[in-house]
Amino acid sequence: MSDLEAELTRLIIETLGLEDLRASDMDPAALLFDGDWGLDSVDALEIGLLLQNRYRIQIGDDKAQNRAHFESVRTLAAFVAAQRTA
Amino acid sequence: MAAIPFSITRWSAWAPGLDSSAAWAAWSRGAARADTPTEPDSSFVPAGMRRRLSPLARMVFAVARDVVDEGESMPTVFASRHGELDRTVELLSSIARDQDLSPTSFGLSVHNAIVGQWSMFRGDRSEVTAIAAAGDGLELALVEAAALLQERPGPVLVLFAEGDTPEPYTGFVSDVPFRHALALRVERGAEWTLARDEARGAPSAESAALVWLRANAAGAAAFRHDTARSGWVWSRA
Repeated sequence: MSDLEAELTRLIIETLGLEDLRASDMDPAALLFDGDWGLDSVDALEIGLLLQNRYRIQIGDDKAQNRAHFESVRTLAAFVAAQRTA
Repeated sequence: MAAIPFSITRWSAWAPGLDSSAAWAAWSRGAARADTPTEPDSSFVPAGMRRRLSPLARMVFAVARDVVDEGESMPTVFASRHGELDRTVELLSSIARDQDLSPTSFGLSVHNAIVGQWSMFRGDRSEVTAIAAAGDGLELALVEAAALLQERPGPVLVLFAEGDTPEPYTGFVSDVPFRHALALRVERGAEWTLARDEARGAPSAESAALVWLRANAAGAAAFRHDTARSGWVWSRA
């Protein structure tokens, strides 16, 4: 797990109050919305807000693209890294 | 207003360190204080739902669970003077920092959010009511419950809760010496009567729930709870 993936995992668990999950147990490739994480649409908004407040990243309107970015911690980290250097 | 008769067939209350009738009795005698840093039990709520329960909601769930049976359905009346003040402060702070609001906090900041969560947890589609009525919340919740009892024998679940007051509101809240929650299972009956007295006294120092807990532990035949608006007289047969 990269540093950014670890950071995102920790922030998501903290922000969403996922008391039953341990950051160290989470596979960065695990699906956020249909897999181990079991998140819902409100959580997606909450993660969008987290990216905005923490990394100054604005989420666009392209639904297909957003779905791809929000697939897992790994895709989110790649998205954040790309936005940072852009 | 005519006196309202009802019976309280079960009750439960929680505050830090006060989680049994014996503990509340000790508190009412001055032999125990609500200063133990404990949290109410919410382990019975599935993790996916529990994560969206605020500290206030967790207190409410803990006491409500004590007075209902598995699979029962009943209308619920929730009252709180101050409600989700933590969320209010969080949302206002976000606005002050020019940040977007947390959708979770925004959605759950409404006064009926906790009883909505309770109804989802219970899978109970009975009506729920949320009341904010300054210091008169508990009594007006019982007026609402009495109206529901006109239609059915009961039970009606009456919930009351106040959380710790966050900054910067601490100087403005005087009736919540510590966070507390009370659940009353109310049914038709004449064990208690509640009446509004036109001649009100100086406002009570504590919330109606704490006044009730004190009087109930002492076995008082009658007691008053005065607010800025009303005098309430509770009597026990």
